[in-house]
Amino acid sequence: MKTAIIGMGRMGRLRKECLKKQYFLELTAICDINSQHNHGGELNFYTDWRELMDTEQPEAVFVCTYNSAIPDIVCLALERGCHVFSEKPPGRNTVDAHRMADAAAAAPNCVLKFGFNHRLHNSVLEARALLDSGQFGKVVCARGVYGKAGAMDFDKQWRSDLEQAGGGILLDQGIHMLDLLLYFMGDLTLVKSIVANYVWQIPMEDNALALLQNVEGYPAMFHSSATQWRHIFRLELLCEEGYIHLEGLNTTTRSYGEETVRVGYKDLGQTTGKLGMPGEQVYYFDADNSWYLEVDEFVKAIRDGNPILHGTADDAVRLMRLIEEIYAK
Amino acid sequence: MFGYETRDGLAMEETFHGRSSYFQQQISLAKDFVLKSEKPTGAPVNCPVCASLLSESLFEKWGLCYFLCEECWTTFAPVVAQEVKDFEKNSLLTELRRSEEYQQSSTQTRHSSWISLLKWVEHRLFRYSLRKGDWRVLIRGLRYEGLLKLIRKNPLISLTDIKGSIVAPDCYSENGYDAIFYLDTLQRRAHPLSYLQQANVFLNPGGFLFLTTRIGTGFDLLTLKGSSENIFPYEHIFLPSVKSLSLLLGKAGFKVLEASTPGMFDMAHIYKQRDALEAGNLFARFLTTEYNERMFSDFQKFLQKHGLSSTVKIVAKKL
Repeated sequence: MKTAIIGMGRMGRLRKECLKKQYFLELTAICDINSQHNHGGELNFYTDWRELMDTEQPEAVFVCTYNSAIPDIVCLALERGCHVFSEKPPGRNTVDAHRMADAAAAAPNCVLKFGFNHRLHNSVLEARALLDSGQFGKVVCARGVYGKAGAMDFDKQWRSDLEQAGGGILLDQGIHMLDLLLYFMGDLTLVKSIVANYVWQIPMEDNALALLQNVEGYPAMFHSSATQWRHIFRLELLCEEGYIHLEGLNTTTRSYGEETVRVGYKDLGQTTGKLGMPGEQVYYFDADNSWYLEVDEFVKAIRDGNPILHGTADDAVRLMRLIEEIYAK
Repeated sequence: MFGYETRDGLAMEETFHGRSSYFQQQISLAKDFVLKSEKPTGAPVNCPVCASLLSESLFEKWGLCYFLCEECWTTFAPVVAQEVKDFEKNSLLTELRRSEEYQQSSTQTRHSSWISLLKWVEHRLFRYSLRKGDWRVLIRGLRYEGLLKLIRKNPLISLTDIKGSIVAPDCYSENGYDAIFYLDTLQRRAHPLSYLQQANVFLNPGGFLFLTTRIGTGFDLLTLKGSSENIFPYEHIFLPSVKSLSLLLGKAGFKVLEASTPGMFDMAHIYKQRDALEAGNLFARFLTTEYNERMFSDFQKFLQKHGLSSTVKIVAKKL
């Protein structure tokens, strides 16, 4: 299937690598506003995405651009009958998300998937399976922290341009943690939030904190930070029968620490002989297959008619609505 | 993906608290049997995993030679197969293990570890099959009535059959199982490949093998070698490395989904047997001299995490 990638920054290059590992989608063209991003030079290259769409007429498109460009590309591609895989976030606000969801509804033969790869990290797959097995009962409380070290040029990056990005650390990175909280706890409503800029000289937040509640009243605490001064990913799920702690993420630089799931069952009888120190199982993972699994899900949805389970248009709208609520309060 | 289990702050004296009071008795009975048994003579020594002839003699125990394959790090002892069968089925040791007292004692000391094992099995079965129950299971060579009862009571397992156990008569079909359990049985097989191939035959397509066994690359065995009181014939005659076991499973028609070395007692064994350490093993000698609980606990976690402990847990899928 004739396929194009629009946006050849880090994510575009990563998707190009993913596409090499399957045979269904044939990458024929790439696009980037920066002509120096014509990596390899073996594909048809465009600097104008509309020209690519007109000339190449791809059947599938990967949208890996700045946030502000995403909705126009997604909507036009769907309108032309293309299957679309778009990186997160699904636009800059709920208007963008609704617009893309409407375009998808008007193109029922097209697949639209947003890239929320964290759901397919090994630790998250394990945690989901643990919960689904029923051994732990319900999640009664969740605590999620996702933070960045920042960088010398952090305030100069496109992510720090409000017009292009649409939001700060919450929309850029925190969105993944919020997606996971929704994934593990179901629909969440906002109780209280603090969105603030404490350190960075940028026109958007460098910290976002929120207290949320699911439909059964169980709470989730959320903190997304660009002033963590180190990379951190930590999600604690406290359940009726035990706990599941996810920590670290396998990334190319391993800067978020080793990806682990620490599992413990409540041990009121102190079978280990030590109160507060239950026997634990720690799973650690030596690979990140999430990017490939995402593309695999996209391919199977197109080829086999499988439903999209992660990153649907509904997921996108639900998530952007919650983010907008957090910003509003 | 790898995994390991931890028990923080495990004290050395606690480590052996749970050990069966029958341990020394079993060693003694095994020794009597093995000393009187026939040993192989003169034949070339091929590694049972990679068939390499490049093996070095590692140690001798009760007249039986153990070899280490220089290619794949499998430790093995060539045996007369009939002797191993007799050891398993007809020896005084087997009689002891069948006794009500032994079974009761085992249930007392091992109950919590069995619960933990079954939780692991339940979770991994669900993780890989996405089926919540109605599993048809075959168990090979189980030694404990208490564990068998627990498995049979498990509401997620609809059928529990058994083959080659000393505590229950054979009751099985030729095929049709979703999962097969090889719990600490591979280590006493004279022909491990054919034993694993049998598992493949019993399983449905895509079925799962749950395997626990001792491995030869565990820190305690590599440190104590023949002095280790925990390794003895014919209880332990095949001690692969994690890699060589994966290779063997591939030959038997399985894909390894995960392998972990959650063994908890390497450091405890070394500490307990510190007087048996070789004079030249300065590191281990220094380690035991400098013993403190926290350091040993952390060291054990390191061994668990990096595949260096002496037991392995594997989930493999029939190809």
